[in-house]
Amino acid sequence: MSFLEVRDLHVTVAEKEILKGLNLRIESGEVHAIMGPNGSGKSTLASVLAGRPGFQITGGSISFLDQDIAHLEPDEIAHLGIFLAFQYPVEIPGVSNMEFLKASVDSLHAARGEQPLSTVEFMKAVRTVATDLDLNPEFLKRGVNEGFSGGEKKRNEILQLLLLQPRLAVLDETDSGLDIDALQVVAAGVNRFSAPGNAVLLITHYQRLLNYIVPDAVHVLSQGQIVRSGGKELALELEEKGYGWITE
Amino acid sequence: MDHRMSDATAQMRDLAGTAPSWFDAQAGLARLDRGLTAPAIREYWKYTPIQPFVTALVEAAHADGPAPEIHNADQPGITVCPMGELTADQAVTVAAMAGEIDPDRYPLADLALLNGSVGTFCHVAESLPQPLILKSGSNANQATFIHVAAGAEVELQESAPTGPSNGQLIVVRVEAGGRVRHARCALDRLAAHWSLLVAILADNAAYELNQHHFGGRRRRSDCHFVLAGPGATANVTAAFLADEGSHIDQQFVVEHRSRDTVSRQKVHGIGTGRSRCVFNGRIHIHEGATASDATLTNRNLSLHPQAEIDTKPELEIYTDDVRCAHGATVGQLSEESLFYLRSRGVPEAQARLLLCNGFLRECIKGPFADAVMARIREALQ
Amino acid sequence: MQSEYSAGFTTDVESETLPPGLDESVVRFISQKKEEPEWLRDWRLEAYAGWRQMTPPEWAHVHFPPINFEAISYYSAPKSQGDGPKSLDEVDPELLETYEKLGIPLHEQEMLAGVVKDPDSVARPRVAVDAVFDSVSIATTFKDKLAEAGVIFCSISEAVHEHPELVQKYLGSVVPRRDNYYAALNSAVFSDGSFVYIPKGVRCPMELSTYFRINARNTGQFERTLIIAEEGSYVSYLEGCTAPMRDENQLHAAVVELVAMDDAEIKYSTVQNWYPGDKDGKGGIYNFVTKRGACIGKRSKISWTQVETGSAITWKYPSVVLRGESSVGEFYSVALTNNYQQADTGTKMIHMGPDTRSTIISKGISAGKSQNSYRGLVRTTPSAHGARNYTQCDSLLIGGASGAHTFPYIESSNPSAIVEHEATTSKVSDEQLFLCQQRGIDAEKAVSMIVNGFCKEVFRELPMEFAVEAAKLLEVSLEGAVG
Repeated sequence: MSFLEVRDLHVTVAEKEILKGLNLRIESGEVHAIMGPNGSGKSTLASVLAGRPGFQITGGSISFLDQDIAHLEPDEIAHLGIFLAFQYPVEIPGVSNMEFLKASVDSLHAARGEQPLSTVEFMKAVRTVATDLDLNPEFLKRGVNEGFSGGEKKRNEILQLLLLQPRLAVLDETDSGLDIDALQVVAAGVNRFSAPGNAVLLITHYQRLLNYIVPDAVHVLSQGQIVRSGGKELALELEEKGYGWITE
Repeated sequence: MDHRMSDATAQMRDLAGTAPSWFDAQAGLARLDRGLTAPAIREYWKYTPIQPFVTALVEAAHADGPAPEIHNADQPGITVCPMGELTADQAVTVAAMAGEIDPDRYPLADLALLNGSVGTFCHVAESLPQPLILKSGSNANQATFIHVAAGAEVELQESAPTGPSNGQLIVVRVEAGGRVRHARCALDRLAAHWSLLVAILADNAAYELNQHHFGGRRRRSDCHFVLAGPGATANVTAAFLADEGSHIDQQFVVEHRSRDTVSRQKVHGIGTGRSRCVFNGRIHIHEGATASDATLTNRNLSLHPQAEIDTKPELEIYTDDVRCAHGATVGQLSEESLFYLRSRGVPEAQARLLLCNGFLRECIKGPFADAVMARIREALQ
Repeated sequence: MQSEYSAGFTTDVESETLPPGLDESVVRFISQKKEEPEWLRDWRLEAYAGWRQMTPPEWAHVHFPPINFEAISYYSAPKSQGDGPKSLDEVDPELLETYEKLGIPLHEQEMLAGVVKDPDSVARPRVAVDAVFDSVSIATTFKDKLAEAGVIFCSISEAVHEHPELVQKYLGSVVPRRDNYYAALNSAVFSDGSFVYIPKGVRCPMELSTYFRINARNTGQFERTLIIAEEGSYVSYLEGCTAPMRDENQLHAAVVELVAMDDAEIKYSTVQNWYPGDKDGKGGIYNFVTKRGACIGKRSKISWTQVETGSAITWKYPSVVLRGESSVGEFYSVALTNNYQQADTGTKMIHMGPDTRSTIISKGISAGKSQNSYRGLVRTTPSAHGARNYTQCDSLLIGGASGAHTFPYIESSNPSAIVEHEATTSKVSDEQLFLCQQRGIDAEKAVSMIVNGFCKEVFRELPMEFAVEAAKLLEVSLEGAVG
């Protein structure tokens, strides 16, 4: 049984083919990093894994825990245990973080056939995670990501990751725009999540994040395909030489 | 149409005798006649026919409806007086306040004033610990004048009456440094209601209005702020929802007449079911009102194939030293927000509900918030 | 120093001018003079009858004494034109010189229909010009060259005779005769204007242009333009206008109709520099114009770009009716008013077809004691699934005695449509001015730079040479507004 297996994936956005036969296999307990130049299709891969509307799968398959997820709705994919940390977390004024997280936790519990958390249990869980991530629990009363700084938004994503306890975390450029302190907080959160039964897919442009989260495998994405795979040393090589030597 | 308008004037003529002594009934009748027949009325009532209101208000004026009630009026610092029994000084004050109502824009105001026998004047001399609760009777057409003395702070709570047909004129004058917080709530699905709120603000006076109008067979509300003194501020948040069969017309005017005046307006509306939402928000900056700062946002969600939304944010500006901006949108829930919620496992229907709730809640404040949120849940289920 | 309106001279040419006044016989006279077929004469008479029953619109934010329509002459033509010149060689040299002075040489060479004279410009692209002087078209250039491509570009009077089936089919199809007061008047008495027909699949090989000139005293100009773009065709059309400086107000009530079929695109650019009146508000043109395009075909596109600096009063709303699926409407406008000018201008975007798109970018600049209003309507009908509109309206005030107003109407009847409107009003900031002055740029130049930057989004839409002229025109129009 494979954890995540992407086979010959073709994806079209607004009538333009972005992913052109991508293959990727991740086993449980692993951390993979996908790197690549701008426009190579990194964020498209993240979006497709989470079922974002507007991304047309024109060929290939995505199987997660032996289930074909290629044409599932975003909430169905979430129920199976795939979590996407957004590159640009959405602001939703009027809907409080508390309300948002509760709705999310409740629906995941329901999907798994579990008893819903009581408000007290829920609050306790949120507060614990928030404190670990250096987020003032007061943020729960504010609108979702409303008026958050870039760093706060990313920490809120990691808070959701830890709270919702998915099986696969896909982090879409979570490191972009973070200062070094925030980067460490985010990395610590991801490392805390990372466990034998889970897996992490890091999508990043820079090697920097990989100083804190050590990957088992590094893949280079270029023009919609994975053009090279290697160990963590590949990232260092890319840092040194840039992408040109592989993609040209 | 014009012919029937004049009928209205004729039908009001018999009430001229019951109008309070400070009110020049003949002039009022003349204004009413002119206002109802002037070409401008077509623009002010572009999306909502005025005739049914005229008919209903004329009827209500003759119906001998109950006088408006003001609860918590036994606090120290407050004087309440029926409109027919004003002292000479009070009459001068009330006449001056009534003089601020633009008769061409608001001809229905004279309908309420002609029926001034069911009106109340209220003078607030100092800050009140308890909110004043305004309750108007059903099937009535009435006027309430509130004069807030310099430096006094007042909270007003007003829930619109249920019942077939009502008219409500409220005029508030706030003297220098006074503050008013005013919450209004109307949640009746069947109501036919007209109301005009005129607030006149002296130097550094502040008015905060939270208005929530949900449903209503035929509902027209006009709010007019006059920032008369330097430093006066008006802050409006309003939410409205038109469900099946509703017609809601919300009009806001803010006049900046003096320098350093500030206004903020934020209005969110949702049309569900076959309905019509009308919004008009006008910022008017007079010559000489330098360093004025005004913003207005009106956002609308259309959730039904036969929900019509008409919105017109307007700017009329006669001085260069200003900062003004307005924006209006009509659309649906953001796809990106919807995806964000769904990617966290929230099913689509629930996600939509959450987002609609959130959209309105941005503009829901004050003492009626719980009642309003319950009404939203009912409307959106 | 107050700048001179450089196009303000008069041409001394003998004219045949109808005495002032309007009745049925005037309508008949114009029709007869143009040897029109019966159907067109009746069409005019019907319009006249409609006009008689109508009243002038009062909703615009402009103020002027009632127009005495009996004091206007409805037809004036240079006598030398006779039955109209057959070729450029036959055009009265006096008239050629007029256009030369305006920077619109009518001989067929590298040239541009300019509104501001620019003797320094070189290497200009070729532009075909139809020159309308008072009531008649005096010359249309490059007709033969255009004919090779199948493009018809001629005066509307000529089109009535040469292409009656097209004129009869489309005249009044976008702007009905009784659409509004001034359109009805135009339909009754229009004297000339341009006609353009781009056949299927043809990309018009050069820019087309009409240059309107009011010369005679006490005349009104009522031109009529009709542009038809067949399936898959493209045309870019430019329009310029000037008039002499006269103390009395003169009426210009034009109608422009555009029709775009499947995949066709019409780009219509106007630089309007009618005489604005003097600095005390005396004289100037009343520019009351109805312009509308119909995107009939799928994926068709109509784009209006206007730079309005002239006229005592401007009342115009170039609009697009978006019928065809996925059709596109655009409106880019700069309206500058100075002294006592009044402008009430904007657009209407009527979304009827599914997935229709419209964009409105409006920049208003008010200086002196002028009043400048944007008025717009965006309507989505129940059939306009997925329609989208974006509107941005910005106003800039220069000096504390002018007015800037915004009246946008949004009427949405489709829950899948998205309409967005934003507007801002501000003045040229003291900090911006100070920065420029501190760097040695004088106040007038600084304001002109800032205004140009403010208008950039619109100028970008103009053909390049036109954009350069538009920028200069703004500079000239703003003179005296600062300090």
